[in-house]
Amino acid sequence: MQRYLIRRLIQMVPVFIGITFITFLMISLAPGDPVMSLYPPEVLDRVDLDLLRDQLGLNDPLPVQYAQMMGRFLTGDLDSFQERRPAMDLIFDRLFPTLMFATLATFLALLIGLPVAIISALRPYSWFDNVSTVSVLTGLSLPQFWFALLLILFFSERLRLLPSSGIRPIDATSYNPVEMLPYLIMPTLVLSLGLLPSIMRYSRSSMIEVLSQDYVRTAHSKGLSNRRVLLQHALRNAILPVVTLIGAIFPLLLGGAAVVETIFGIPGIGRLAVRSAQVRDLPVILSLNIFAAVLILLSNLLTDIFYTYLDPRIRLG
Amino acid sequence: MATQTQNLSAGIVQLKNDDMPKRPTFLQRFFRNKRAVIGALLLMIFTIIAIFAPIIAPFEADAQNIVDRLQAPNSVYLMGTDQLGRDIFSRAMFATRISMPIGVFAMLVSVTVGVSVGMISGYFGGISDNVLMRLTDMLLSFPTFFLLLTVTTLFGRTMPVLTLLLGLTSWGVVARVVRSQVLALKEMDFVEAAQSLGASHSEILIRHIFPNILPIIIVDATLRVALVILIEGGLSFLGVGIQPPTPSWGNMVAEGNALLRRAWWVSVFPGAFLFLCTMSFNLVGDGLRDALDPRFKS
Repeated sequence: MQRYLIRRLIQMVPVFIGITFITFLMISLAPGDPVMSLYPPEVLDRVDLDLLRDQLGLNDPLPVQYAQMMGRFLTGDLDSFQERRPAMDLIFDRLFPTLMFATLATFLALLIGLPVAIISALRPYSWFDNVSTVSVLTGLSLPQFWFALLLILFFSERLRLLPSSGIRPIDATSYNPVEMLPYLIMPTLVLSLGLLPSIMRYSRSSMIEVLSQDYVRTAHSKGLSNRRVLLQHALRNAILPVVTLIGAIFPLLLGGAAVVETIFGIPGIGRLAVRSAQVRDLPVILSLNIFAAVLILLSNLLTDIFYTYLDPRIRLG
Repeated sequence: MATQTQNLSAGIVQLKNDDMPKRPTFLQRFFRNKRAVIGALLLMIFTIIAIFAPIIAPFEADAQNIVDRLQAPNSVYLMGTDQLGRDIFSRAMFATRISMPIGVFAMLVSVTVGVSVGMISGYFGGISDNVLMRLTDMLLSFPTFFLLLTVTTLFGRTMPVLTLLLGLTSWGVVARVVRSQVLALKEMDFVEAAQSLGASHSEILIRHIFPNILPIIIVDATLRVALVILIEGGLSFLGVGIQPPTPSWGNMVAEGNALLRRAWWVSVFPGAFLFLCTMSFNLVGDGLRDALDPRFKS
């Protein structure tokens, strides 16, 4: 196990360097000047610009710039162009809401997706299964930003039931879950919509496959109740592939976060990404891409490790 | 298996006999599926709209009529007007000419790269496999949406740039699927037969292996168009995709976002177009998958 972990971590190094280098290269090769978006055009004159570029290290050769940027990134003092403080600080400041919604959305999607998928799998091609197949296709086709607006239109504008932006009341001083609840409902719903179709589809086919296995028939012929066969024998094995999916949905969640946080005014890293992209804040963009890539690499690793606990047949080596 | 062999030999004996029970053809299986038929019809409608928008749309895409701004849907403006008095229905029709081509061409880029990488990786193995698969891993570890946000901001937000970027960031899954298929196929007898007859690598790949993975590629391609159209919509909505005044469903919904309370139709109708167009590709892709191989039914 230890050797496996070390090998996996070493394997991640070239991928990590590759990702950072490609990100850096794109930023450097892109047309346009990052300095221009730092100040409003009317206060800029040529002399200031050159000095500023020099200070930010934008006049050095590309490999030097890359080495400098990475060095500063790894030591944690890569400053945002806009806010003049470390880019990683900006990210960590905004991490909590994003992770909170990601967790809530994943749980909600599993809570709805798994039972529906299991019932569908028990009677494939029944009316229930057909309805759920159509729902999967609908979910796959529904644009998250449009779904969010429809929810706001209905629950905030028409019914005046739920607030349409923020994560807690404006006058709140703490993060009290009870006060926050109405603010969490719609963003969580929209975010989980992005995961639900894949979870439902994946669990259904996994369950159907397991149900056709010999050991399920054996369990039935031993005279065990349907319920017991389903919950104790089939479900355990059917759920295995779904675990790998949870590792893979991380990128989906981050993409959804950009849209959801922008619409619902949530101060998370998704909105930070959109804003930094709009103002060409290079260090923040670079840090965000690297940070997210590392999260994805780690979540893949954790998924693989978790998998061995669930399925002892799999040996890591 | 036994019955299959029997059927097969019976079929050979009675080759000319019309009474022989036929396995439904691919098209029959496709059109027996109600969802697939609805999808195909929808797709046809959207294709017609995309081609003939200038002829069938009641107004020009940019035709402003300030006097009639923010009109609710009525008999002249079927889906109402926006803040500049432009007809939502007409603009949504013209947007079809933006989003559908982006979806289709980005899919072509993605499938071309993905299939080439997958085939080379799976067939030749060794170093090329290792390098290409690490590259694929890298692509799949990229937070794609963040990456797209970044790249569109840096390289511009025109249709060709957007198409190319969406294609170049989405080939990872295709490459993996194709590779695993090729790995299995290259061990088959017919490939060995072709090799012993002196066929070159490219001949084997193109004439013998490619036709066998084509069905999977077609299904993936159809579903991919839907995905790309959705992503383009999201980017345009966030203001980093297609830029106004060029109408795209995403940026039309964004324009209506601020007016939600006063004029719901400005964002609701363009979003419905986007939803239905994506749905049509998903329904057709799903139907194709079922028709090609009932075992894939999911």
